[in-house]
Amino acid sequence: MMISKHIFISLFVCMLIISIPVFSNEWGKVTPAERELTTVSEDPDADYVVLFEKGEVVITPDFMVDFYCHRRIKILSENGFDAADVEIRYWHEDKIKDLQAHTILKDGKKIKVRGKEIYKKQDQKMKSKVFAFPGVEVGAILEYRFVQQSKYIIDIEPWYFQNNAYTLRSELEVLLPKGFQYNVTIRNPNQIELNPNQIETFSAMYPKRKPTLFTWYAENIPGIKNEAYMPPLKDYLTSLRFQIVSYQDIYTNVKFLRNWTDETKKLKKTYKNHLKTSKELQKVIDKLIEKKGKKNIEMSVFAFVRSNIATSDSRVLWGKDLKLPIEVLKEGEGSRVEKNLLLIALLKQAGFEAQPFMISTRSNGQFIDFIADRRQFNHLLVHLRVNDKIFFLDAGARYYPFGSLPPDDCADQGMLLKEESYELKAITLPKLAHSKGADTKVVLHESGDLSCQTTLSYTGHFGAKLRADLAEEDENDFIDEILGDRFQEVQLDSFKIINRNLLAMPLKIVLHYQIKNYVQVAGELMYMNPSIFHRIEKNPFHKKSRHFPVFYDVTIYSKETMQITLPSNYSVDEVPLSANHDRSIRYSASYSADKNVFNYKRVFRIGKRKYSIDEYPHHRAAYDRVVEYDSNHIVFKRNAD
Amino acid sequence: MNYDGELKLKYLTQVLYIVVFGFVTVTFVLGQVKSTADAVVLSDDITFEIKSENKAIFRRHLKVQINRFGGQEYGYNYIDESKYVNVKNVSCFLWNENERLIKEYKKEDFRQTDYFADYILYDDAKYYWVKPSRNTFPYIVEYKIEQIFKSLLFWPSWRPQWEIEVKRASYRLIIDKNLKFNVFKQKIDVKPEGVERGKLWDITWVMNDIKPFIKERYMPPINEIRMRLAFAPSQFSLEGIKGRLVSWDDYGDWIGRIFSADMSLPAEAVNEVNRVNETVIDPYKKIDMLYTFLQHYTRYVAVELGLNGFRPRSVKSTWKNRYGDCKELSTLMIAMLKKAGIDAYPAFVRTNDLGPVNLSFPSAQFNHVIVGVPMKADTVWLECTAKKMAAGELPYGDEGCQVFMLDPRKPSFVKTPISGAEDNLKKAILRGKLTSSGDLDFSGKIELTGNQANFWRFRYSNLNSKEREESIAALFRVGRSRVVLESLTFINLDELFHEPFVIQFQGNFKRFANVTSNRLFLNPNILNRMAADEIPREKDRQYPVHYNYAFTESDSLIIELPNSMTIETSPSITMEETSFGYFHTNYKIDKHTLNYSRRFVLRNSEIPLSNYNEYIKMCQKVVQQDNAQFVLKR
Repeated sequence: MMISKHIFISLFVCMLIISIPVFSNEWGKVTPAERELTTVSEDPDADYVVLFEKGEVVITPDFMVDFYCHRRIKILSENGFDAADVEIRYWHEDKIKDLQAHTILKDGKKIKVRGKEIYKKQDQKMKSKVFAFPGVEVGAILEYRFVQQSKYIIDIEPWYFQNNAYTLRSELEVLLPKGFQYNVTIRNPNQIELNPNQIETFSAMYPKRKPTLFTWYAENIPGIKNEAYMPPLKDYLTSLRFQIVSYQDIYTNVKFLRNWTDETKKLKKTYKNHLKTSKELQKVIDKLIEKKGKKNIEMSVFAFVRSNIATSDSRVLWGKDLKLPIEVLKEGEGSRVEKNLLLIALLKQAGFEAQPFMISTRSNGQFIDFIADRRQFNHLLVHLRVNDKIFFLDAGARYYPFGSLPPDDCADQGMLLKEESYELKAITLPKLAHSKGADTKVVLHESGDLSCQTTLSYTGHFGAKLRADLAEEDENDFIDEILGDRFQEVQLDSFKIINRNLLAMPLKIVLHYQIKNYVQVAGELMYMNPSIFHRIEKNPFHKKSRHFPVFYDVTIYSKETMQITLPSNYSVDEVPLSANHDRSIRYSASYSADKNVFNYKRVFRIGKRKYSIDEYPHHRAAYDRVVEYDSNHIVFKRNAD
Repeated sequence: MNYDGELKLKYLTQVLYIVVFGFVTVTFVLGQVKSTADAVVLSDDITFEIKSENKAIFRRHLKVQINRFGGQEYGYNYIDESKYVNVKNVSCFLWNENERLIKEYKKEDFRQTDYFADYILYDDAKYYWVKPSRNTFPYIVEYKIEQIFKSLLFWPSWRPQWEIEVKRASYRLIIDKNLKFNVFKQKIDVKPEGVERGKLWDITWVMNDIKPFIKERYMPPINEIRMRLAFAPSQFSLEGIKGRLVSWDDYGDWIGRIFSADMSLPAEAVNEVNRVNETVIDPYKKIDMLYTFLQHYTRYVAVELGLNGFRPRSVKSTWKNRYGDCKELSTLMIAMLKKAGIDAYPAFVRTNDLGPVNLSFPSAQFNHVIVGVPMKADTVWLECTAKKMAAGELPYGDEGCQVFMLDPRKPSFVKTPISGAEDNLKKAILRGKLTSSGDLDFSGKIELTGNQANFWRFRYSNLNSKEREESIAALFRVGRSRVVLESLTFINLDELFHEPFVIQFQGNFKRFANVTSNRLFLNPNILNRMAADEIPREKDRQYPVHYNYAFTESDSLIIELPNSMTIETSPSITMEETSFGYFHTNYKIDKHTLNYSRRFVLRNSEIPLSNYNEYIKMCQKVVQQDNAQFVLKR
């Protein structure tokens, strides 16, 4: 076996010398069409255009991956010069070889990027090569190519067919020798047309066995940009993932493709020591019982890990850098994952059924269950069973109460690591209201000044967010900001913050204050906008159309009430028509008067997290209506003597 | 000021620091204090030991007590490393409230991150960092840092003041008696105590109970107002190139040698200059044409590698690459001007965000290079990294700076001009017809000059046509999504930067005015409006209010009102006059046409502390007025 392996490698080295990567578009040979192109009719504003980009995956005889990348872009305006600064990011264990780059000027002259003008950077486990194309002018063509060598045959990166800029052609080729089994997964296939093809071909690397050349390409692909209120862009791009399943010949039979059984086994092995019970952990449990009692001990344990252990920003999910629970306890600090592992260990120690639950957070992108690759995960939650009830916990989320999760953790599904098996499972959470309330009692003075008492209340995600802000800031500055952001002349008399540390309760802020010149006074008339805290002045969606659906972090409910005591000689002259609509956004504004007390109530609700592209125009229009209603004024009039 | 004149020698008993590490509980060796603040610096002791003019050892021993969650960031530390400053040793110790060691971070436990701003393509600097923290308070974070400085040019300043209280800070300098140096004091009153030890001075500055440095909104650059003791050696060496810093002439001599790039132009560049020379005779026009050429021909790309941080690459290289950083683009410009028969020099700038240059303190204080072209009557300044600026204009960061102009005959300081309120104009005129349902058909024009034009030209250049339309709609401060533009024209966006940048548009604003059964509410402040959150909040203000530049906002609204309605209420006419600016609003109604004007002028970019209350009052008035409405009745 050893001999054959050596022959194999020697043969491979020889082949490397004689084999030259095959590109359909020859290096440096610009077509007349490319040379003459000055604008793209489908995207007349384009500052640059990707003429083509091609990725070629070659599986080498020693089971390595050579990824050849070749890219050619054209600068269409001076604003496109930014595209001439290039950064190639890659995994630190990979190698970038034969990086070549040159600028092809309008007159055909070429200026090379010299090796010493290519710089290396490293940020943790990612490396980069950076360079700037020389001689860039409008009409210049910038071309570069490189080979990325990786020893991880099973980790072939997906190919994304879309770019920020308009792309004339994007192509992926995979050269696969006989004996390999493979899988192809295409995400978002409906956005652009991919043209698959496969042929048997000749390759110097495999002279005796005709490998198969797989090709996919797309043409005339619009540029894609991020939009507000959307999950990671990559979830929406058309991508192709080519996975090697196995290899078999007369000497060898190797399985490459992961399956969830193996993947979850590896994870469980990695966490084995982290989930062990121990005397030290028992001491913690004993102390907690002594202090808090046995009842709801799971909540005490959770509160202990959440609040007593500092959260570091390490993103390690497995491996030797992951601290053991005992170290986390000793140091009083751990990453979110380390804290959750400690929490599982402590809960187990206390006799509960607690297990790791792997997720890909919303900001990390959607988890695809049919791709058995644990690298999709970026976080670990705690799956806890108490009697028949299931809870999902994250002790790294400092301001979320037991049983609730921050929005980023609320992935659609995750992987439960059981003792002997695994389970793909949806995250179910108790219904939690994410609400904002503002109840104000106002005495309106003839001068237009207001004497106010307001109770602001926040629940769910809003409560957590505000508690986090409060922790970072001085209380007085915090309150100053709340009022100062809204009123140009305000005097705070007193304030009180309630339930700051009772996370399961609404966070309340009671304010007593005076606002000067809030109401416009004109002779016997006063004009007042009654929504002083929740008023929306700008529609957050100014674009007429979107490429992607709207995603909110959470559903939103807000209620504002105001009780206005008018000066004794004033009465209501005109109120806006009450509003009540329930299209896309539920909104109501109602007004009532009783003697010299005027009441206003405003309710705003966004009842779902996602609005599709088709729903977008209605949603935008609904916001428009809200902005309009919120700018309404009440007219008060001095009574005739 | 030369340090020799100030030194008072005193013999001191050497202080020994005894620090006990390990798991042994030591009662308050670390100097824990009772404090209700988020955090407090217990001690911050620096030793700078100069071995020679190109070698020094920097040692820092820092202890910070964290009392609350909000103070955790003060326990984080970022330690720079570059080609000229190496991190030899760094360690961090985390102690709990009982001063028991919880964790020790060794050098290999520190994370390393490349350290450069987004606008730099590559820089060889990086930093080491850790973020030790606990959730049980108080705790103490202790750092021991040792860096090797390979040139005294980078002699670090002492900044003993933090945003939290500092119980004790010291700076100890060990230096050969023969090596002279200058000290510059800023907002600091501290006397050194020194010991003579053989050939060495051993000098220490100590401060106790230093009040926190307070941050305020719209404050001047922090460098300008924070306590600082800066040092400059009389002589130094960088990569074998010796220099002196006794006078600015010395600095000029050194930077002149460092800055001496190969100025020879390639043939194509000579042709370009000849073309310009043949086209125009007027030197101002030549400068203008060559500067415009440079703007189109090159782009800004910064690669900072060792000495290249100071020394520009050859002109030929910049020409070939068509890119460079400020010094390289400036050098190319100077070479072209020289070829055209116009003398021009690099001018070293300390940009305004870093505060002004200390003229009495010759040292490397600059972070930017522009070009100065001395003419008979004035100097033409060229900011060669700006793509959309006229020759002679400067961005606000370069305005009013004492720049060090490297005229080989005699380097000297020259002050760059400061733009006034009228130079930075944003003038908007909106004409329209309002219907009784509140809709507005409008046509508008916005005229921008100076820094206002620079900002908006840059912004619109990076937007596509759809985004430009959306951006114009967004200028309508309220209800932008109801704005439908029918036409949009930009004048002088990509050329004629001497001329105002003009945006013309036409469209319809649905429900522009708010309508109730009997009334129509119309806010006339459409394009410029001050919001309450823009007003500084400090009741006990410490610093002047600082803007980037003086400016004028001028708005006119000419609206034909619906015939069926009469004006019930109008906003008051405002005439707020102050020494630093004014705010005027006025209106008249002529045959159902409302003619409203608003003018806000800030005469100076800095409002003195003595005018703070007056300034706040004016801002409150502006916000109140900007929210006031015309009310029309059926």
